[in-house]
Amino acid sequence: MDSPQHSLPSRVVFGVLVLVSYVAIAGTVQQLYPFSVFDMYAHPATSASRIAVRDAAGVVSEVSAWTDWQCDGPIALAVAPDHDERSPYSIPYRDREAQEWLSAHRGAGAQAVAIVRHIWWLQPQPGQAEIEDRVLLHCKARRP
Amino acid sequence: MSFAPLASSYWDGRSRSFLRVGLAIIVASNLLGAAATVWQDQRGTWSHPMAPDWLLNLGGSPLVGLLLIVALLAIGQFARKPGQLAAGALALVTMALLVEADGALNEGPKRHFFAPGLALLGWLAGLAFARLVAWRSGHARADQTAWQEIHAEIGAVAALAGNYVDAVASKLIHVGPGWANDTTLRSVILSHHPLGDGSLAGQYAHFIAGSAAASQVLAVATLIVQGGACLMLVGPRWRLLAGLAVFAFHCNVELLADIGYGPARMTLLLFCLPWPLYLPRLLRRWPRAVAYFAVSAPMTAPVVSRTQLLRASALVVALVAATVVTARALPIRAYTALHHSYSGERSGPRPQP
Repeated sequence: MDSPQHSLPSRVVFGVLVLVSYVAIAGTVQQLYPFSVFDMYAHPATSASRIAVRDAAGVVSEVSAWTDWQCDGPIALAVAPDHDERSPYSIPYRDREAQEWLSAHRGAGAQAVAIVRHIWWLQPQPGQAEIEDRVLLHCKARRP
Repeated sequence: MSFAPLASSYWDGRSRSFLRVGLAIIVASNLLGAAATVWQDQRGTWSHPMAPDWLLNLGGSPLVGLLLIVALLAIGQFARKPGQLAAGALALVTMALLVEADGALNEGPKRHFFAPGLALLGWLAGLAFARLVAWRSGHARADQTAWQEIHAEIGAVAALAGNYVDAVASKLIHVGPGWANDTTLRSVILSHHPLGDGSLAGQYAHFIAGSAAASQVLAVATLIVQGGACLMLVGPRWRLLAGLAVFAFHCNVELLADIGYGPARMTLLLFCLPWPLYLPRLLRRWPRAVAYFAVSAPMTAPVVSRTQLLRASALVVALVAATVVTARALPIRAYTALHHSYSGERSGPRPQP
């Protein structure tokens, strides 16, 4: 015989159904709005990198801290154009933001700088990181 | 067997208009953001190589304005009255079109738009499920409306929880508990946080990035908080606790890695805070708003048999199974697998479309 609804509230059943359904569908389609497995930071990494500017004194700063760019070409965004090099972890949209900043802020800067891929090779020891700067492009720019 | 503690909500006995209107406002702001992005975008080297032309052609097209108008009207109708399943679905489909167009034009979808969309999907699924369960129950329309919005609320919360359960499942599937090592989180922080940031947030990020132990503690906390999101289904106090923990997680990620997820945070606060306890005080100067939002809505639940409930649940399971089978048969995964495909430790140039 059927029992009344309050013995098994339908919202409890429904809540569990939605949770399981979301996980099942997202696992199938991976990334299709509004389903996502949110796996963008799920992979292990032992390095980090940023597109950055290194000035003549060796100080490294954000590309967006500079303006009036004069460069011979665009930034090569491939993380390891030379296949003998190790590939560091990078965030493509951050790299692209740097490239777009440079394109949008062209001018007649006079200070010689290098655009580099600033890389941290992380060590398992506390706080340790080996730093490497791979030069991508030589430019002139101005720091406001 | 009683599930009463699981089943309660701060909103029981009250109108859920505040939740519905709040969700509509968040979705509307997302619609504006997504439409503005697609309007400014053009097909280019960052466009998805497999994206269909009709999706890429939305970039910079006047059709974006038309879609936006339709979606805003639909979400407005959803907000205005309870039970607006078709209007909500129209807004959701339009939002999906805009977000997918942006993703096709720009290497991948912006996931900060996802949480409000899936809360809306959960809400709409709740309306549909309640109608299905209470089919021909003969109750008054007002009772039916309250009954439907009870399910809409839990549907939205369950979908939000699924979002975070999926995030932790991805980490555990790809790496296992070892994801919470002493380098992964440092890598994310260093790759995102602005160089030379001397602010308090910058000093905090610098400290965590430089401390293997502290970053590992935060990585373990990430797994616990994201996995604990499923507790949002276990009554209002657990929902508050789990929701605030996830909110705090997002705030910490913003401080460390400059990744905001504002729409997700707003959606969490909307559904997890005990607003019915605050609203009469917060709105005391606006009696009309109190009359609209803080109104009580006692309900006599339709008498639903276990058989009705099981039949409706079986139908949902069948629909989800059919969706999964269909999605596997279509080349969706081949398409979505290329989103953000150059994230991580990559090499070589990006292939051109």
